[in-house]
Amino acid sequence: MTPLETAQPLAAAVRAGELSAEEVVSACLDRLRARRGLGAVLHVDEQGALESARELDLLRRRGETLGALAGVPVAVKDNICTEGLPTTCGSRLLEGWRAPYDATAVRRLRDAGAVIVAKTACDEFGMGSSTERCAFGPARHPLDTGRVPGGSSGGSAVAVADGQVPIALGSDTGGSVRQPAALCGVVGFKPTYGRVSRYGLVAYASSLDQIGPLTRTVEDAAAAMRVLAGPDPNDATSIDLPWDEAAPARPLRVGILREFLDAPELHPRAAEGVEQAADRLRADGAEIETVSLPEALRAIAVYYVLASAEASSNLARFDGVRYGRRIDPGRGLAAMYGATRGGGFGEEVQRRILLGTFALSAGHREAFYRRALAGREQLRRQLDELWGRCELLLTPTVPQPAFALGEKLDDPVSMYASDLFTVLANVAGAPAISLPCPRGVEAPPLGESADAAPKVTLPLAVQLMAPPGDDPGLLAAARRLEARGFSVEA
Amino acid sequence: MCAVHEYRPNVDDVRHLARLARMDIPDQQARRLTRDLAAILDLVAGLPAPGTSTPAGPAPDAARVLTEDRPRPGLPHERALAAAPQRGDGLFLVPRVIHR
Repeated sequence: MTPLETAQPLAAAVRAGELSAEEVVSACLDRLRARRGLGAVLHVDEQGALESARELDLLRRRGETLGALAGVPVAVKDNICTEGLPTTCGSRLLEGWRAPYDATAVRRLRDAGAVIVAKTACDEFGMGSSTERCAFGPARHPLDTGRVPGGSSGGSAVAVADGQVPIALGSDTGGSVRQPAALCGVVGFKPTYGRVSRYGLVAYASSLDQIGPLTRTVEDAAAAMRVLAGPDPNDATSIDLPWDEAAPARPLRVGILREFLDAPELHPRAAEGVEQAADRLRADGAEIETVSLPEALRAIAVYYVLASAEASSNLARFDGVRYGRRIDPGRGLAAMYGATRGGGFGEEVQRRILLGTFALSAGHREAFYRRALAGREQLRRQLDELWGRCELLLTPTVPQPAFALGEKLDDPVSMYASDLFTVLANVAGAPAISLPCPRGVEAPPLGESADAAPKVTLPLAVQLMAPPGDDPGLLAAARRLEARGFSVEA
Repeated sequence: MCAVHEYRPNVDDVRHLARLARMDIPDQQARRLTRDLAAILDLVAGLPAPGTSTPAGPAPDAARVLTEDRPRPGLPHERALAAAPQRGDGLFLVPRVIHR
């Protein structure tokens, strides 16, 4: 393991003075430079990162106590505001825009001593499952550059999987942290809705969006969450729940969601991963039961209606007036709006804005938007009943391993199916974590380095989901599964 | 009201939606989006059947909160204006709306 792979030992070494923050950050910047070809990052803040690192070293020499993430390089998805740095959301419309403030999540990381080194590639405004919808080029899978890394936080997943940074922030509206984590073979954690402030996260679907960490270990995800979680006066939807990791270890009651295992899209090896996880949890003392949530697979319909409706409203702010690009054909204000939004947004964003406009329009609102809201309530109520029987749900994270670049670009519905198993947690506001399976899927490499090996092993992953609010319990359970082989190292 | 499974948009519907969303879309793209929207509507036809659940609102329970209506410092005026494509006299400038 290279020193850049896990945060906890790095921070401990920096706090103890065994490593300087500058050494750590310099090594990270070297790695980021060397691996630019993967397209994981859109912007590297070399100067700012080195200045922050030197400041940390100065504080330590003065005998001051450093924070929990002292000297840890962190990459941030490019839809999360970072003061003075570009924040493009992967969109031409925001090319060149520099955020005037830090998102609360970013400020908390900096306050804990983390060093923001880079902004990572993402599908435009978080809308996509492959990072091919990033206007500045796709990110590429670190094991096979001819494949996608997933999305929309694909750049963050690649940066962590490739050892460029030990922690990266993503945002998860329908699976955008967990799905790329699964395809790249790292840990991805989506907290309970409201656990992490959304202040400074450029809004896609406000009732579903949540910032979460991508890491190589569950312990690093927990370390990030200890810093990130907590109420924020700048986000009225942030919640004030204690972060209590002191609960004693006890046997778990785990439900395997039948509907997901029966899904026709599921790769047999992904189903095996779930069975293997169940066996290992059982060996750890867990009670395993197959449970049913009849409407579980309908969550994808609920999600795409609600998310698109909210996106059509949230993205109304990109109109060429206050920030970003303006295209002015010189025919008045309305023509400027139309040209800016028509020429600035990419095709997937336009598709979702149109779907959302449709779902909210007179004549269709009852049949689509209101019905999706009712569907969300129904799913939540059914899940509440399940939580009486089990405290965790075990599912696959993704139906299939990483697919070829371009394979699904002209087929939006097929692309949307990548989120089949992840959207439920967003619809329910529940926390969920993706862990790599011990066995992936062997496939011929499609990338430029195809000659290097006859086959690559593409990762698959399992997902654990817990009732809203029980993020610490979920992380504790994930540690137990990680210790039994569901880990990056395995 | 149209049932979820019945509706099929045509290219004029898509152009109308694009106008509502204030997006200029070329004809070729409108045709492609019409095809895509039809496929996506097939996907969302899987919305759960109307049951006894009533839509509670757009936000989760935990998020339905009220906060005190109290002014707090915001982004300084100059910084808020700094990224505007066009500004002048401390204001955002837009193309002329009213012509005399």
